[in-house]
Amino acid sequence: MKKNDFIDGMKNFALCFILATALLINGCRKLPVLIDVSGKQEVFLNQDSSKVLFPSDFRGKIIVMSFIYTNCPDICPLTTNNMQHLQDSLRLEKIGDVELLSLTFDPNRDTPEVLREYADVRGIDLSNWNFLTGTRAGTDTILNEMDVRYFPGDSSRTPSGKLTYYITHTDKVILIDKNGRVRKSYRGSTLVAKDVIKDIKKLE
Amino acid sequence: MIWLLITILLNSPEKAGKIEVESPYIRPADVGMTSALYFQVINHSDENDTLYDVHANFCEIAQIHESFMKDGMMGMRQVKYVVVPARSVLMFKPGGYHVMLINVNRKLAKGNNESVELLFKRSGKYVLNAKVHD
Repeated sequence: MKKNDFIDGMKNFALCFILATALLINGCRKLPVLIDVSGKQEVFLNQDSSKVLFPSDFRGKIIVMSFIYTNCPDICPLTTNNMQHLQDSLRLEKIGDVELLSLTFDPNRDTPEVLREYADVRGIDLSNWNFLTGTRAGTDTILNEMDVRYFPGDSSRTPSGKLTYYITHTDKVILIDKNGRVRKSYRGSTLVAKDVIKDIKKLE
Repeated sequence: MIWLLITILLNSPEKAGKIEVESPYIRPADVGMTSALYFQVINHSDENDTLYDVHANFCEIAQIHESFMKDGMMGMRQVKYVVVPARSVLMFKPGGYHVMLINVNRKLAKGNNESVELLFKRSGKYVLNAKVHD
């Protein structure tokens, strides 16, 4: 009897262990909700000067969002290039319900026209990608929500009078689900398309 | 293997005493924008050399800069000069040293080539042709 009790006990333990492991693995596969911006509403202009309501205009779509400014010579172009690779990979994998957004840290200088030039000179496909600018207050609201920090350095003028200043900023790209909730963040300068796509598939 | 090749390259007799610049490229930019130049500097000589200035006629100002990360944020600072140690390769690459090209005065379109002068303290002027691409 004692031997049977022991065997039954071991079987129960094994069953519980397997169930617990299965639950743990299943939980790890889901992406946690980091920030919920579904209740927010900010008005931006895109590169064509069209009004964009964020995030409500994109409800029902997955968003991958970067934060850049066009006078950044080094990190932001790298992030933008990585986003282009992501766009190409999404197309190859026929994943269609993803919108790319790039919000500027620098609405003073990054007007819709400047954002359009920035996209055009890089040959960016704007069919599912919007470059956004807006008021200082509106931009700051979203940056603060996303825990994206920035601070401008000292400004100066070139001999021709052009105003120059550089912005120290968080290097971040975020993944937002179809309900306006941030589920993952990445370093924009080292963004890997296949990692983002793997996470996108976890959301579907 | 790469380090073996670099060692052989650096010890090649015909390259002794020379600065060489390889793989230069410039990011695309439109008029009025800011761009960046990247490259590798190879110092084949037994003495350090110093890159102290850059000239480019397609922008108003060319400056040596360095990107850095601090407290999880990316920043940039101007660097007056960069020492290229003897028998070494120094990379100017995204996230590190780069030449910032301020107030571009003509469109730097993908596929174009642009001429840039690098000024070294020991080796003098080095003219390179950089292709425009991401």
